[in-house]
Amino acid sequence: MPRAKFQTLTEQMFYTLLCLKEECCGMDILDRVPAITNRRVNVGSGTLYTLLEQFLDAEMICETKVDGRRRSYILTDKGREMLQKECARLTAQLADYQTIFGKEDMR
Amino acid sequence: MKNTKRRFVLFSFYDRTGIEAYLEKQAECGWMLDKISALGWHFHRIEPKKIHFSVVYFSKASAFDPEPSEQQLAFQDFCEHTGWKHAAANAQMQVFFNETPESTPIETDAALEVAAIHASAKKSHLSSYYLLTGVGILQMGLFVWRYLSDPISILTSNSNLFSGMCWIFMLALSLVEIVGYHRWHKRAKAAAELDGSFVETKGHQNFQLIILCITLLAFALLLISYGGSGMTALVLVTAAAFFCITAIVVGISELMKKCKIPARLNRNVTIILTVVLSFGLTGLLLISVVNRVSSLFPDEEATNTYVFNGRTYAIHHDELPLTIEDLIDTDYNEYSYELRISSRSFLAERREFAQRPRLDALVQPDLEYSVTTVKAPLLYDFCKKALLADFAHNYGHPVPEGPMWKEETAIDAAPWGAGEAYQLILGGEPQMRFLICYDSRIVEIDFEHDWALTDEQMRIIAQKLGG
Repeated sequence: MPRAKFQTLTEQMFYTLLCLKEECCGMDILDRVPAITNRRVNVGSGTLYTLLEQFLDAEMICETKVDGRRRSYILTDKGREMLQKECARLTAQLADYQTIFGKEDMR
Repeated sequence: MKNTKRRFVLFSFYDRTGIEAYLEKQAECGWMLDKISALGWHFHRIEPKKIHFSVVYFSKASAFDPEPSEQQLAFQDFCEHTGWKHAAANAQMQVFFNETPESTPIETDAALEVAAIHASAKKSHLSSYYLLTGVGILQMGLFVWRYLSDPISILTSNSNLFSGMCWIFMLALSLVEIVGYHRWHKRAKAAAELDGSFVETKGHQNFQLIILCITLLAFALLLISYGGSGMTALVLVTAAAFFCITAIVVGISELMKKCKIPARLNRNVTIILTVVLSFGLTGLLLISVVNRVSSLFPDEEATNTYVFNGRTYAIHHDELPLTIEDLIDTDYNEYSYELRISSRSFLAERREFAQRPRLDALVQPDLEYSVTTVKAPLLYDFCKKALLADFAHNYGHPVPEGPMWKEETAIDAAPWGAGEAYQLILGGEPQMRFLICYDSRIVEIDFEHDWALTDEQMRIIAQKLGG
């Protein structure tokens, strides 16, 4: 069954939103995501372009500055709420894991 | 040594995997893509090397955009930031290349990529293929209707068979693209949802190539079959006109782009222009064929004429395989010998002949017959049935109630030296009209109603027309 839009966030969505805690433009995000994740997560330029459009449409981010073709964005309250919700979901998942396997099994 | 080249490539519109592999191979051979236009894919020479290509779909772009939009340029800026340089574009399809081996792909989310391809497909290619399928079904329906109602005219005409083949191919190509795309889209969407993987695209390049080769070969054979007659000129003029229309439409559209005409206006003008020019040209061709029919299809030489009731009639002297003089003694020497219809294809051939006296000498007997030669044995029975079914309708006046021309009116074929023979019965009365089936020929012959047919005449007919 198709996943409802933004009900859960993919890693790429999560880190894109995370980067937008502070105002930054698309190219900054392209650099920051691999930096934050030690290159574990990379967001493709096309994917990021589409994500930013979808986040804007969903009012999860807003445009703060336009400098030529370079546009800057920042997280909105709604976006922050989504991020917190995702964080809570992931935390709950982690807690469930620890309940079953115990903390010592964590690598 | 040429430093540029142009290639006409066949790819399904969504076959990004195939296009990327093709471009990577070209780069390894020292050719880099720099432009995609209606005139083909343009390449320039580079040092042969391994270059990665990425084909992505930007649904907001249009083939009629005068220049890349701000959004498209912003998209390209994003790609360039990660090392992907823009090479060329064709409507929504954007081609990027990257010389860094370990660069991050442009699309890293399969679900978003599949959605982007689908949005682009819906915007242009799919609707075009739906339209082509509709036209193809309509034309196929007309072709089948013609084939069922008058199969002989289809089977004896290379141009009819060729146009039927073209419509079948066009329908097949459209359906293969539509079905292929939807099957891929369904699988790709499911895989992206399931595990985030991208299902590689697989186009129908070989199928398209085979269809193209067969069509070109058939077109060449069609021209050869006309042997430099007026039909050759007509077909060549039609083909040239088709290319002219395409060139005019593409040229004007490109000119509008250069003049920065908005995409929507460009698109509307292009559609209107295509429709007007296509219908205009069809009308023009029709008029010129009607007006110049005598020069395109030179009529048999009429050596002399005569006037009857104020009108002038020609007397023809075509060569007839069977004449009244072959059958009876006559001293009347003003007959007109006419080859009325001659049509031939690689499957069958039909020729219709008539030998008529002058209109002021109607007491003299006349003779009409046709010879249908079936070159493909498998079609013989089909042609025979079609001719039998059509026989009474061609009699020239309304068919009265009662027994019609049917197979049960078969007569003894032995005197005709044939396998089968049939006689027309109208209103219970036998008519002097026969259909005689020889090995590969079917002869229809129509005598005067009071003609006294003898065994010797039947033998002569078999000898002259039986093949």
